[in-house]
Amino acid sequence: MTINFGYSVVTLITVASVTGFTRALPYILFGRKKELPELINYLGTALPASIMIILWFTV
Amino acid sequence: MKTFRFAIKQIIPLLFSYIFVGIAFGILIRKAGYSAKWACFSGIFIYAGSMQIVMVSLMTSGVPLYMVAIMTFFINARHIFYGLGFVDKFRRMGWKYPYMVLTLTDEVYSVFCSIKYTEDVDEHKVNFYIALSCHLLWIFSCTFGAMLGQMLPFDMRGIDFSATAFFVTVCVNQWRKFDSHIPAVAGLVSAVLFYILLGPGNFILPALSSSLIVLMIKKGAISKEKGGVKYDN
Repeated sequence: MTINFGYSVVTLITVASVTGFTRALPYILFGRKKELPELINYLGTALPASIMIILWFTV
Repeated sequence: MKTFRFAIKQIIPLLFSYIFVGIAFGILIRKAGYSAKWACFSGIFIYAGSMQIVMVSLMTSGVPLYMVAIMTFFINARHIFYGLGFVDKFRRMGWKYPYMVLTLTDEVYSVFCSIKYTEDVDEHKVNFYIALSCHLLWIFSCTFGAMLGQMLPFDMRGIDFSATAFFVTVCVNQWRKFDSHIPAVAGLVSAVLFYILLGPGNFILPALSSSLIVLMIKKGAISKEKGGVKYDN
């Protein structure tokens, strides 16, 4: 199989950059605030139970 | 040393899941014609199992880069939800903050949600050791898979059940941890509904979004139930 080296490099960089961006997004939006909004505190505590059940369906 | 040992104990349930999927990715990228270096760099800079596997087919199919970016965002969008719970915790970790943010995977998130810290360990150090160990394990597994995966003498079928077992344990712990079960039930109903409607490949984001909406609507009810959810700042 012929590999397009340049395209593959740019694809890897794109995937890595966007993956990093999605992970960093909550911190970009809320990381600089002294006090986190109460809603974010609440979701941070309540969401894990929902997320864990949903992730169970992915394995 | 005690802190490091404590951290390593927490990731034992993830070991086989990481090794198995990492090796599978390594074999896949090698079969596509890329060297082990590509597997290694993917493990270091992407560190997302499902996305890395999808990336292999993207690299070989010549999909436009804007489509690569869009697909990556939607496949990884669930990480936005993970981050919400750790903004405060991670930003208190000094220079480790960016690394912790960029290495919060499904499994590491699960470990952080279920961990019970003892008094004789430093919580921040434990979290860092967990994140770092998992990342190094992933890099090793991807690289090993690309270099030698096809020469493995044993059949690894069924080994991925360890991931299922781990997530079941975490779900049960979450159920027992909170007096209010609305979040868990919301997740379950959303997951089942969208799994049936959209299939296994497309259900995650709608399920997460609808759970989020239910949690916001039911905030008052969840907070009023005995115990409810406790904020841990």
